[in-house]
Amino acid sequence: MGRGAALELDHVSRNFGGIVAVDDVSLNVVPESITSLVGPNGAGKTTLFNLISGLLPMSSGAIRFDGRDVGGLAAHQIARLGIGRTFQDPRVFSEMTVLEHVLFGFRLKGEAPLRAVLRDPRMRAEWRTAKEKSLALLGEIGLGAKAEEKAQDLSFGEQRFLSIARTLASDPQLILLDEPTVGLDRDAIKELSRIIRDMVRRRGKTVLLVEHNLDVVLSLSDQIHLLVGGRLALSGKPDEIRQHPTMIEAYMGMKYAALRREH
Amino acid sequence: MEYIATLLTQIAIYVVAVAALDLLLGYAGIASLGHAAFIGIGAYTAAIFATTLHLGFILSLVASIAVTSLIALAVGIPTLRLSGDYFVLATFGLGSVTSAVLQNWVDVTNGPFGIYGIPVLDVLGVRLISPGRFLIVAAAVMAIVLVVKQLLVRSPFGVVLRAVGADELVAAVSGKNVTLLRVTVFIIAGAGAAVAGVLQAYDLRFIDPTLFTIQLTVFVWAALYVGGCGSWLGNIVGPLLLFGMPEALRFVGLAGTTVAEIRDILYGALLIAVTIYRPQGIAGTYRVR
Repeated sequence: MGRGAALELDHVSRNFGGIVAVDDVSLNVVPESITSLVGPNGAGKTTLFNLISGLLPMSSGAIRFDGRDVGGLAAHQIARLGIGRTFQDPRVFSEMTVLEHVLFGFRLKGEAPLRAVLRDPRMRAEWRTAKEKSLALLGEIGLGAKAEEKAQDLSFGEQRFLSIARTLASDPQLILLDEPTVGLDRDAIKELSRIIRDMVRRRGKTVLLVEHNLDVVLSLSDQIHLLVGGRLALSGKPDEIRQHPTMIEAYMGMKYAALRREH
Repeated sequence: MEYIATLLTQIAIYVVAVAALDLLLGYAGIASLGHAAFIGIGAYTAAIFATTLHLGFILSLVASIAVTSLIALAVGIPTLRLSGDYFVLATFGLGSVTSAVLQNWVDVTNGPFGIYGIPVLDVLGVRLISPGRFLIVAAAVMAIVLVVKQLLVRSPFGVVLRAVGADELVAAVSGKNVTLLRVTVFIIAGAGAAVAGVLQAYDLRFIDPTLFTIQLTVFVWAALYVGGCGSWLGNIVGPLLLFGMPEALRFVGLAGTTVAEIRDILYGALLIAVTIYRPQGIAGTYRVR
């Protein structure tokens, strides 16, 4: 499994017509840490993810990963450099089995059609090993018993875990998780938190998390960035962020109450 | 018997065309209306090589696959970047342009008169003149095509192909070069269509542009849909039913002309029945998106 690598955003902006979705954001993500992006809806968190993963071009600024400028690269090239991501929806392949999702994640030499037809022994060995590794990974994620089921027959929560397993299979150094707890019950959130911690501690990954569940954010994160209206409003460690007036202002209402209850 | 052999040969040829479309549409989710164009390009290339250069069957087949693949590459690179609806339109255009070229490039294609005098099929110097012997070749080619297709789909390539068909965005952020994959499968399907075209040219021994119009594309789509996407058995069942149903009526005693007249009604009824009762196709596992 790969070691985490640093991500650097350098004055990154993105406009949609006259609307500035991401406004001059600069931040660093430290290797083998969990960094969270928080902020109200429309703050530009998902847009930022789309810029990092190459699904949207930046309007200005630079993104460096592991010291390398990744601005302007195609999404699949960025993924191959070691940046993986999930989406807010699980986006599973409904007709494919759980096992196939994870096999898909691996990058295999057998993906070349000629090798698929010729079935040379090395390709077959690679395929077999990939299946074993897939089953092991599914076991760790808690989907081992469902390997042969179609993704559309899984519950929403299981689909979310499957989408994370699929991303892990492609062995990214940096994992972008877009609101992974949405739609999960309390137990599933606990399990997910364990998996995210494991990514860093056991697999040496770097995690960048967009998340609305502040309990999860505060308990998992090494570093938290608050985005408001596309701008970076506040950065700090959980303890610094928790009581900060800017944070409380951004999360007025129910979130405000939840924050107060903690103390 | 000869009649049945001829009928089965036609079915085998259409199975090849349907299997090629299945890779494209059933697995990769690429809706191409240019399938008849590739069958036609394959048929014409083989017919021209066989009549002017006097190449044997195997060489014409190889040449035809090569030429069609190159054309699929040239067409695929610009068009497969287009999103769904625009790609469908582009391939419809490909079909129309191909028909126009076959009609009007008289020096090469002999225009509306078509190419006749395509030699009797020979394999390694043996002339296979009877329908029964031709059927053996057509069935063997069909089997090879289906085996190759199964090897492709039951492999890492097949897994990625289906994933690209299901969700391109997820495929891209997982490090898959979606455009390259789409072009690759477009070429493979084009080559498969060419194989069907070559068999057709050798079976009929006369081809003209009216054989390879949008109607052929629609027929192959219908056969794939009726049989079911994502299944080799479905690829066989579809053409078998579409060809076999009208013939069965003749065997129960309806006059040939009556059968010809009600054939389209039969096809319509079959399509409606499959849509209502078995939308994934008779032997299919995936739904056409």
